[in-house]
Amino acid sequence: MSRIGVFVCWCGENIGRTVDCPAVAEAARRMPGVAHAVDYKYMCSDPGQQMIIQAIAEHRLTGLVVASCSPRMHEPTFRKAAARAGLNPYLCEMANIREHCSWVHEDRAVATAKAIELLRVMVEKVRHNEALKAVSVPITDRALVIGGGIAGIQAALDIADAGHDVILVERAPSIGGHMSQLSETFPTLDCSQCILTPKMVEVAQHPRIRLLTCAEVEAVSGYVGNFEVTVRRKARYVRLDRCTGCGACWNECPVKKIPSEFDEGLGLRTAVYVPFPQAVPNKPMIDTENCLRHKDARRKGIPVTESKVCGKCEAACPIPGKAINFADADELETVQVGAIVVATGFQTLPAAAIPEYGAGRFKDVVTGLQFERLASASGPTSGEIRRPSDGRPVERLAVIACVGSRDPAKGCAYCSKICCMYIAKHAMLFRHKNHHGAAHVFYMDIRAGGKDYDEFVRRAIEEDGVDYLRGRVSRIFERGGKLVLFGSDTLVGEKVELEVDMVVLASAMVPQPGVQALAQKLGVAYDQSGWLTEAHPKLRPVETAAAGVFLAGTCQGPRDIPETVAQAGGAASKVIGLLSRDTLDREPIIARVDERVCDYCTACIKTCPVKAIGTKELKNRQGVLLRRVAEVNAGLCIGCGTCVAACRPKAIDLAGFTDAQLFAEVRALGDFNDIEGRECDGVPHFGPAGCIAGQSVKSGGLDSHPTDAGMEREKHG
Amino acid sequence: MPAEGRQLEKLRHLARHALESGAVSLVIGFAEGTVPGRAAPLFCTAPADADRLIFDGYCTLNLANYLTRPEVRAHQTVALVARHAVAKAVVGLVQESQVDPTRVRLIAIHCPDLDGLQQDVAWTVADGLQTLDEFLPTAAHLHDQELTPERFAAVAQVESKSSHDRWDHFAREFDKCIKCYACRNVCPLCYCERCIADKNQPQWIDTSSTQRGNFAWNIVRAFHLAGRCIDCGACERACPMDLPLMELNRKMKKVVAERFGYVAGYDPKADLPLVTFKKDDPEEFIK
Repeated sequence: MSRIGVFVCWCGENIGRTVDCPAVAEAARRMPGVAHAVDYKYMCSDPGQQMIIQAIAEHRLTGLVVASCSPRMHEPTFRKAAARAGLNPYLCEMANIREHCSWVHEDRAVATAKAIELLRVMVEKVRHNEALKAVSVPITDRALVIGGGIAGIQAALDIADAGHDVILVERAPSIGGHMSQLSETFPTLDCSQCILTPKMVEVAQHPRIRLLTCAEVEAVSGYVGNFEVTVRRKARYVRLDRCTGCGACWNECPVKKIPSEFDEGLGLRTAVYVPFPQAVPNKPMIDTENCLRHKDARRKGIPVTESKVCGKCEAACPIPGKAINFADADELETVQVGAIVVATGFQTLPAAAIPEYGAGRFKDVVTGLQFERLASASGPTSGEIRRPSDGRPVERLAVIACVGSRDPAKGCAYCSKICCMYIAKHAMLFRHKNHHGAAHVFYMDIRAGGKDYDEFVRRAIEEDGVDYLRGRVSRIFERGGKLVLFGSDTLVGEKVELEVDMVVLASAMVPQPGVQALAQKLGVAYDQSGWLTEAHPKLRPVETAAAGVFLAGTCQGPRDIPETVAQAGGAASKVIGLLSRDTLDREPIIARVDERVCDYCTACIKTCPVKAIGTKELKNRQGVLLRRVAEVNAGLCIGCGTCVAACRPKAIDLAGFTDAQLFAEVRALGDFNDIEGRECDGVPHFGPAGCIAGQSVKSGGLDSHPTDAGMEREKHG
Repeated sequence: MPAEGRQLEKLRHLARHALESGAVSLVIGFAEGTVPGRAAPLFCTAPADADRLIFDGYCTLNLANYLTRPEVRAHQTVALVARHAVAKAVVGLVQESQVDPTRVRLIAIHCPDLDGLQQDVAWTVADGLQTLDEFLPTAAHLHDQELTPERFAAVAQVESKSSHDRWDHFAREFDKCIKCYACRNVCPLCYCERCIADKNQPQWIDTSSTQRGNFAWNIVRAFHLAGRCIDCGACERACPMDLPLMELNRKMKKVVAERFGYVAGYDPKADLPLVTFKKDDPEEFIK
């Protein structure tokens, strides 16, 4: 015999204004199985919760329904209150009479009647609830950080410093990311490498960090606390355990004119190369696209070990037993981790997407990253600003802001956020290096929110004499070895034609290619621009919808270095909080199989998005296989219910949302008898106590059909 | 001897030899029915049984249906007299791990689709006992004929009605249903030990032959066969009340072909479109 307690919340005015809460409580007292019903102004408040706790003892309640807000909001609150009173928390349910009722209705009578219906449905559900026990699973005390830019480096260091093991996976041959390419950083103009490289070295030397470069995440399975990640370690053709990074190989390599990725194509590298002198690990890899031996092997269709071409790097290697290893191959390694930080970063909008500014066509139209390399003391021009086309010094520079950003036509409706600051920095650096030169900036708005940021831009304009022009550039063309810009200055309302030596484009930040595929492996959502989505934009900014997976840096959206470092620290603290525990309680809302009914059609196995369903062999006492059935792994199941929908004979049920519970809810919904004047609206719906079309339940008539007008009503709500 | 007679001799010889050689311990085929114009299933366990085998246009039952019966499962290897629809059903059963393909042999009959009852059909027997893998290439060319507009003439007619008329149409047709479950019992893919219609705690499908119960049963059955139905028409032929069940099944087949590019019954290794989770699913809700 059920003794259900019903607690109707006013939520101040939120519910109370539209729903007659005392009337709802009064109606609840007449519902079968309800032993106690009250209403109160704020059920979630301390007195409200005390009211629930006292009622459980006083009325010996076997179940609770709190009619208030969404369970997303306060289900944990009320379930904890139930647990404090000694009632199994899963015997507490919520009827949402706020979002589903008072907030969307104006008519008090209708809203009150609907609130009673919503409540009756949940009372019927609770009558079929059963006590459930949380599933306790152990946690693997190790974190995986994907991406070795400043975000990944900071997250890895913070987690490792707290005493947890970290595996840092980086796609490139060195960690460092985009920050390692930058010259100086705003707003203090300190050298990027000077502040980054100590952290890179710290990563390499940290006893708790295992660094995997030239590596990518291939597959992810498991769940929070117990992920199993397959990492592809790409062939480097250099033995990291033997190589000392002496440089003999790359000095001998005959292929010397490959555009350097690190220098954004402005410098050159060899086929066996270290991306930049401060690389971590500071050991080379062989670029198979350009290596003569690899090319020869590809042409002849033979294994690279059988080719005899070149091999100068191997010959030059002074290490006994040689560090060059042409027999190297991709390896798949499976690692167990408890938490994952995604820090895959960004790239800039490819030149092909901006034909109007001649990017990629005119050599002297460069991207912001290319300018960073030109301005960097370690760059291809040793820090002198020279034209890539003829190497002549630049006398007049133009910088164009918002190239692609804030332009839905380019697929980047968002602001890239960092450009306003770095274009001020570029113009400023240029003026510092060339006191006689002129720098012009075409901008839409100046967005310099941040500590010392606006001051920095003012300094560029007022102290360094940068010419800021508010307006867009319509097109760029070459004339007599110079670049001509057509644009406008909207503040004076004039057309502008400017002849310059070099143009810098502040191209939009876009997500790394392939990040969507990674997000799908991880179960992380992404928006239409491809940025990974946080669990809540304000209150859960580093978490994702996938428990145990956290975000750091620009994979989530454009941001600058200070923000990235702060967020990486935030993600790290979430990981530390998780890994500091020995076990994790998981919701017992999981699927279970009725072995008597299962036909092993395998639909559930194929449809499970987390591969939580496997096969169980039923054997007799002699060990003879009788038949196979599906079996749910309680640790893996996320309770999504997809298998329940796929199971034709209904051999799978979801604890907490059982067939019997849902059926009771549907039955309660179909019972319109005590709502006066309520007639079926003609929209056909099924349910044992409901109607099929056109008639009220009382008449039991099934003889008319729904009208098209009724269907229209359904469409328009 | 006329051509059909020679084919019949060949059919009986294949069955007899399969049993004599021990290649199979059971051959399922057809014998003369008890009334004219009907054929009855025949279970041959002794070589002499093969002499009673027949084949004609009345042999419309889908014999793959018997593969999931415990008595048949008890046999190590079974041969089926299989026209194309029977082989397609075997493909479906293999996909859903109900049948081990290494334990099934086909005595393949090549003949036109048996949509209605007709005695005279031209048919031939393939040479030798075939495994499913050996049979499939010989029927691959039929895949493209599955979606010809003629097959969907009845579907198109229902589609052309207004929602109001469609409701009337199905209300009228389902009203005839007597809940005998013959459709389920002859369907080779309705193999569930406990059908959802027999589940009574809770009872989603009303067992009474009221309009609600009839709608629930016939629509749920069509949904359960969506993307699985191999279009053999056995249910519609078995229905004593002449419900146009294939209108529903073919509509489902059409939608699945349009949305998933999938036709059931051709590839035992294919993923079933409606129950296979894919990370690159075009629908956003699943990600």
